[in-house]
Amino acid sequence: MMRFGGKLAVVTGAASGIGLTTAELLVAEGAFVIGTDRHDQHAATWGPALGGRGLFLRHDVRDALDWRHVMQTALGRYGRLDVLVNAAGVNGVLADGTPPQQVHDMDDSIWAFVNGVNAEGVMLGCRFALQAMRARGGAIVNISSIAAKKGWTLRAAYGVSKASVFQHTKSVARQAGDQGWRIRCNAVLPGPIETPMLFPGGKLIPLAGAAGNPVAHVPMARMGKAAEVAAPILFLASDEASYITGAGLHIDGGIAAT
Amino acid sequence: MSRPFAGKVAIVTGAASGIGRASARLLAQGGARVFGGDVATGTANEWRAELGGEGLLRPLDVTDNSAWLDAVAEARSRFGGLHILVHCAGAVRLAKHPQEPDVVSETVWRHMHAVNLDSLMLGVRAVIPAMRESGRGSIVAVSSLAGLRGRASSSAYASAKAAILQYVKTVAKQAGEGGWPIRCNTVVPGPINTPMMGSPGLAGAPNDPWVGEVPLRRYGSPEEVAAAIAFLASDEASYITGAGLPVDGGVSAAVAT
Repeated sequence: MMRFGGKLAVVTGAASGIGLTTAELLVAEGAFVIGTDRHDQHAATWGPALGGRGLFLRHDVRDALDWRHVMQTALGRYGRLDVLVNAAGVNGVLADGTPPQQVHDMDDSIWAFVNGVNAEGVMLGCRFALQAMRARGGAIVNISSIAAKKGWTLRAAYGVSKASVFQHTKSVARQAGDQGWRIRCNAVLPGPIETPMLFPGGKLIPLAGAAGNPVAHVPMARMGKAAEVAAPILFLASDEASYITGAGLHIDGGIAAT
Repeated sequence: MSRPFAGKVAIVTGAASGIGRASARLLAQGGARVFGGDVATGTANEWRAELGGEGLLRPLDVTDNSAWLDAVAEARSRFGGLHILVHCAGAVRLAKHPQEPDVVSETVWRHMHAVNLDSLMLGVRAVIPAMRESGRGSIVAVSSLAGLRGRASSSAYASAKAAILQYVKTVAKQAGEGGWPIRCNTVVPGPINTPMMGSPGLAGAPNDPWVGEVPLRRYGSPEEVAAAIAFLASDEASYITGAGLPVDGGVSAAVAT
């Protein structure tokens, strides 16, 4: 099924994890993808690995000038923007579990970094995409998190940044609807997913489950895979979701049901 | 066209009209063999043709436990397994019975909960053994935006639809903790152009009072809800369980819920 034939998509955080898998699935369904990331060590091979159906741009999502360049490339070189997937995200956790993000010892710089990338990055992406998509319509999918829905002692900065993402998703959906722009905006709220973000230095960071069983809090009793988030992202970005906007879709093995 | 439901057997309730009919059609197009149940089966021949000649439309009173057991048995014997339940059967009103809390009768209260909620409990209970034996199961129930918001004129309906959201979470949790390969989710439709919403011609007209609060400024179609149901029923949603997916043109993002 080629749900994205002839479509131009921008995917941030596309060097790895959910962003990379989303880019791969979009290309498999006919899209051309501009993939962006702060980490550009694989820049030269990224597009060719997608059969030439992708272009990689170095992009810090906190930087409005970088966003301008991405949008100018999409509109100038390809003449359109149909889909934006804001997959860039950080949890601020280093391999040794530092710096701290508990509320009583919050590190100021990590607070600014995590909120800058996750919350402000999504705000900027939505702002630029609304302008780029206004004329012909489009779909935006943001990556929030189950961490947005509960108090979160381990990574409070991450939780607040992802709550911002979901809230802003709703505001974008409302404005686009009110203005009649034919732009939908939705969020996915993943639980623990097997991506490099959860394995800094190759070691799983502490999750909400007990030390002996990190997925004890997940009814499905396992972590999800990147493709299990990417497939729902494609659904929300596709015309199959034409009456869905401002929604948050939990992809968490049932955590939010508990 | 891809066939995400090849080899799968589905029961769809409320299958003769509206969201149920659109869901049955979409699942069949995706390769599923569909056992449709409804209290009104007068259009069975036309229905079957719409599904490509493969499905069965049978009388099914979803408030009757033995009818559920019969339906599951027939679906299994005719199609050799059971993998999907899409529970669309429901009712929003009972003629001449107001639902405003100051006057709501036990009759309409019990009817709304029996048709909308008890039916889900019975259906889930009936399909779980068959899904466990079939090795994979996905249940999709239909809640409603009315289950998230206070609404005097349909208080009994709203209560039952809220309970569906809650019950789906419990089913998902039990299935997960039991190690059963069964997911359970719900769609949460906003205003959809179906026979249940009244005259399809009127619904969504420019002067319709409902449309003003919908950010997308229109009613949804049964097909748009069916697409979300089919997604949740499919393996593309393999890490999604206990979730409620709004299909409401943005209403739930625009009101405090």
